[in-house]
Amino acid sequence: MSATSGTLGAEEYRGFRNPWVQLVAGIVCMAMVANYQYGWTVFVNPIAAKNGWGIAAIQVSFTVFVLVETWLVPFEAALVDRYGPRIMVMIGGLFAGLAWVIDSQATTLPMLYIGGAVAGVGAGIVYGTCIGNALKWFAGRRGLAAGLTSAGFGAGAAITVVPLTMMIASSGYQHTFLFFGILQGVIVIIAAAFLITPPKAKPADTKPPRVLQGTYDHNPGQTLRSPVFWVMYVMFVMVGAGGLMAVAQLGPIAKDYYVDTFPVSLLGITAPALTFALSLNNIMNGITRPVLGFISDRVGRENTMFWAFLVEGIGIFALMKFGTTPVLFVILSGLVFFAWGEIYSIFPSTTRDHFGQKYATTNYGMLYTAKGTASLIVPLASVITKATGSWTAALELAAILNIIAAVMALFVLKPVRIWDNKRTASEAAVPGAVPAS
Amino acid sequence: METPGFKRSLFLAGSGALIASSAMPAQAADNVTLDVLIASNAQHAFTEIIKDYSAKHPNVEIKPQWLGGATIAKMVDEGKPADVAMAGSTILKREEALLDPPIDILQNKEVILVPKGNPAKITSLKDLANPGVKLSLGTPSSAVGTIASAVIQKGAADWGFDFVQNVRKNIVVQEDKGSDVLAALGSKADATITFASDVDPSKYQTIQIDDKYNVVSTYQIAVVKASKNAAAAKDFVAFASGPVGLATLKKFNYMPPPSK
Repeated sequence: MSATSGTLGAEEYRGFRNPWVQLVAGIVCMAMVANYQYGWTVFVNPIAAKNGWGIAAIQVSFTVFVLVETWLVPFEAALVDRYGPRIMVMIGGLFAGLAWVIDSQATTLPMLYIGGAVAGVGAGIVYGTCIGNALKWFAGRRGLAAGLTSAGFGAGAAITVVPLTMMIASSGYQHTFLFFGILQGVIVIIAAAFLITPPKAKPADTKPPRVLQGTYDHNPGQTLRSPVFWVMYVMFVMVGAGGLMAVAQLGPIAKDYYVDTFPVSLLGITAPALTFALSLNNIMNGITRPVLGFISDRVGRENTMFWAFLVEGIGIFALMKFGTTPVLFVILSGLVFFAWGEIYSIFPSTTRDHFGQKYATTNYGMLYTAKGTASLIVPLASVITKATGSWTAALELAAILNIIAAVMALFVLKPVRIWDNKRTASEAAVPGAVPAS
Repeated sequence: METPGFKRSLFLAGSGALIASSAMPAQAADNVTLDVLIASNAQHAFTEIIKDYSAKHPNVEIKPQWLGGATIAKMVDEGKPADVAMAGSTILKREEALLDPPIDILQNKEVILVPKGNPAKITSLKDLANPGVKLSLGTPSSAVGTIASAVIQKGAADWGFDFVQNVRKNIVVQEDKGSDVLAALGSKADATITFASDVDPSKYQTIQIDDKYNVVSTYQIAVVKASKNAAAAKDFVAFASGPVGLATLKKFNYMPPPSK
C-alpha cells in the first residue's frame, strides 16, 4: 500500500504545470486519435474499390482495432503509471501514425489487420493516458476534466471527417492515410511533450473535492480485490450494454413506428426522424460527458449516476410508448443518449476518487475493459429479438438494466464505498500512510 | 423495290452481325454455367428472360437464385460464387467496388391492391386510415414493408401524423414475403400496398397511388468482377437489359429504367 502526500506552493504549477494546459494537451491528443474509431468508415468503400476486397473482410480490421484498443488499456496504463504520460503518449502517437502509414501501403488483408492492431495499441495508450492524466491533475473537478477529455475523442472526428472525405475524393485513400497518419501522429507527439505527472503526485486544482473520497492509493492488485471495483464493473457493463442495445434497436423501432423517413424540424434543422435521432445520439453522447461530469463534481458521483441511469431507463420505456410520433421519437432518443454517454466521465472520476492518485490510470484502465465486456453482451439483444420476433423484449431488458444500475448506485455502490473506506482507514493508519486526496 | 438506303441498311446490318459474331465471347462456344443472383420479387419475369436466353444460348446453363437484396449484397461481399447480381440500386451501390458498373434495368412503383369487389370501398391512399379497414403489409424489415411505410409517411405530410397512426392501427397481417402479404388479401385483409409488378388482374383490383406519395425504386443488374465467366456474364446482362429483356419486364408490369 502506498500513500500520497504533499502540499505545494502555487509556483510549482506555472507553465506546463498548469492543470488547464495539461487538460488541453490531453484533449488535443484525444482528438487526434478519434479518427481511428470514427473516421474509419469513410475509408471502407475506397479500400474495397481499389483492392476488390469485401466490406466484411475489411471491417475485420476495425474489429481488431476495437479489441486491441479496449483490452490492452490496463497493461498500457500500468506503464503510464510507471513511466509517466509524456513518453507513453509519444509512443502512442508513434503507433497511431505508423498504423495509417501501414494502411496506406497495405496490399493484403493481413497487412490491413496489422494496421488495425497497431492503431489499437496507439489509440489505447493515448485514450487511457489522457483520461488518467486529467484525473490526476484535477481534484475538485475530476468529472468535468474526464468528461472534457473523453468528449475530445468524438469532437476530433467531427472536425476532421470533412477534410478526410475531401482528400480521399481528390487524392485517393492511400495518400489520405499517409498524410493524416503522419499529421495526427506528429501532433500527438508534440502535444505529448506538454504532458507531465502532477508534482509530488498532488493535483494542482486546489478546489477540494466535494464528493466521497477513498482512504489511500490502491495498487492494481488491491483495486481488483476491492468489492467497490466489482460493483462499479457490473454497473458499467449493465449501463454500457443497455445503451449499446438501445442504439442497435433505434432503427427497428423507427421502422416499426413508421417514423423513420418522416421529416422532423427541430432547432432549425430538418431531417428524417431516424437520421435526426442518430445524429443527435452522437452529439448528446459528447455533450453529456463534461456536463454530467461537472454536475457529479458538485452533487456526488452516486447521486448523478442514480438520476442519469434512472432517466435512461425510464427514457427507454417512454421511447417505446411515446416514440410513435416523429418529434417525440427524436427528443426521447436524444434524452436516452444524453443519460447514457456520461459513463465515460463519471466512472473514471469515481475510480480516481475511491482508489487514489498513484495508480489512477491503471485502475481506470482495468475498469475500462467493462466497455469490451458490455459489447460482448450486446449480441444477446439480437438473440432475444429473434426469439421473441420483436425488439420490445431487448429494449425492456436495456431499460431494466439501467434502472437496476441506478438503484445500485445509491443502495449498493455508495454504502459499499463507505464501508470500504471504514475498513481501509484502519489499514491506512499505518505509520507514514496518508489518506488519498 | 430496293432503294440505295435499303442496300446501305442491309450492308450495315450484315457488317454489324459480322462484328457482333467476331466479338462473341470465347466462352460462348464452350459450355458455361452462370450463377445468377436475382431479387426475389423479379422471379417471374427473370424466369422467362432466362428461358429466352437459354433457348438462344444452349451452351450456357444459368443457375438462378431468388434472394432478398441484403442476401445478394452479402453473397457478393463474401465472394460467394456469383457471376451476375440483380437487385435494388441501393443494394448494388453498397457493393459497387466488387461489381462492373451496374446497368439500370427496371423501375417499380407502389399500388394499392384490393380484392375483387373492393369490400372496404377503398378509393385512395387516404382511405387506408379509415376505421375498420383491415390491412396486410410487409414487415418493416422487408423490402415490400419498407417501401409501403415510406409511402404512408409521405401521406402524413398532407394529412398529419394521425394518418400514419390510424393506418398502423388497421394492420392485421404483417409478413416478410410479398407473396404472403398478398395471400392474406380477401381472406384476412381488405387492402395492401405492394409493388405494381405484383398485380394480377384476375385476382385483385388496382388503385393507383398519386405520384406525390409514391416511391419509385430502381433495380440494376451487373457482372460480378470476380466472375470466372465474365464474357458470358456480360452477354447475359446485355440480353436481360436489351430489347428482349425489357419487353419481358414490361409484360410483367415493370416500368422501364430511367434512361430508357
